[in-house]
Amino acid sequence: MNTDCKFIRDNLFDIQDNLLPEAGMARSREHLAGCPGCASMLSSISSVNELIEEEKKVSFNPFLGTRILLKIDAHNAVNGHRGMPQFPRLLRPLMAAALIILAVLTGFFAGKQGSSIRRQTSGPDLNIMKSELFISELNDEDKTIELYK
Amino acid sequence: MTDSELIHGILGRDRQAFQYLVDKYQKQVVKTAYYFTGNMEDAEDLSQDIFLEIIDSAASFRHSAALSTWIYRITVNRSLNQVKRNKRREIFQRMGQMFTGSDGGKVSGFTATDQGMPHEQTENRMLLRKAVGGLPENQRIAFVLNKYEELSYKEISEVMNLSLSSVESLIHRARLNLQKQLLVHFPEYQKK
Repeated sequence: MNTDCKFIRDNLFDIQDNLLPEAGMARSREHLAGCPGCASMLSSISSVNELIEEEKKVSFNPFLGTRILLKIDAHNAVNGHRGMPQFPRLLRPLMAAALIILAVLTGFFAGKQGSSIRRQTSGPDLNIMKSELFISELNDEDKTIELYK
Repeated sequence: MTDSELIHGILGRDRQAFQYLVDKYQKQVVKTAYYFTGNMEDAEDLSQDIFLEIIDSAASFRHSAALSTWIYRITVNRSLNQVKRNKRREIFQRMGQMFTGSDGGKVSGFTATDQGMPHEQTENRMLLRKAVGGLPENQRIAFVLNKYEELSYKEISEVMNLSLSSVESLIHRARLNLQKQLLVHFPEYQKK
């Protein structure tokens, strides 16, 4: 393979698409006229280009636009874009972290509150209450006995 | 409607803006997705998700580039992700077939659009898809956008966020790689 063959084989697509500078195109035309090997390669590249042109003719569903619009409507309805505030992507993790901290603090204070209530309703205070109740019941019994006398 | 008017309409959830967006860009989106996935069903499904992404991320659109460039970028990224998903699915299907001994039925790259074509043309089309699909990712993006979507090198450099010389180099290498892979399959070459 001489240098001209190499030049042709390195630039087959460009020669086919007429993209080389005029000097390069002239050099390739001259070489191709006398080199059947390079000429057949160029012809193969032209087959590849024809295939690509065929691929470009592909058609798609004519109702695709309607399908896309329906999907957009459904998406907007589900996400409620009109009323919901939109947080930028960077703020989302911050919002999530703030919510988690809020939940932990709520749990902490709720637990603290619960333990103080338990402390109030247990121990000696409860015994005092019980004994007071017992005495008041005794007093009521005395009254009842007095009634039947 | 200009690009910024369109973006303004999308941000305002204006249905007319959505309609205009879809009418103007659906062909670009679905065809580009098809060139990467090689499957029209996938491309049509994908284009719906691409439009949702365009609408959801319209606020992040920088007006430094054309809207079509930004849409190309989203389309290419989504399509390449779909191709990767398809490849993973194909691997799992093959593994399943190895264990069950059944034929999965679907041949990769062969779609309804190929049916009714002469056998040789279908075969060549599959060879071309395989060769383009086998290119390194950046070469594939540059080649598809240039050869199929007919974008200029400058437009491709904007889509890919690369310099003009990098795009030229990518396309040149892509062409050489394709030549190597494809020429041996063509009869003109075999005659030599």
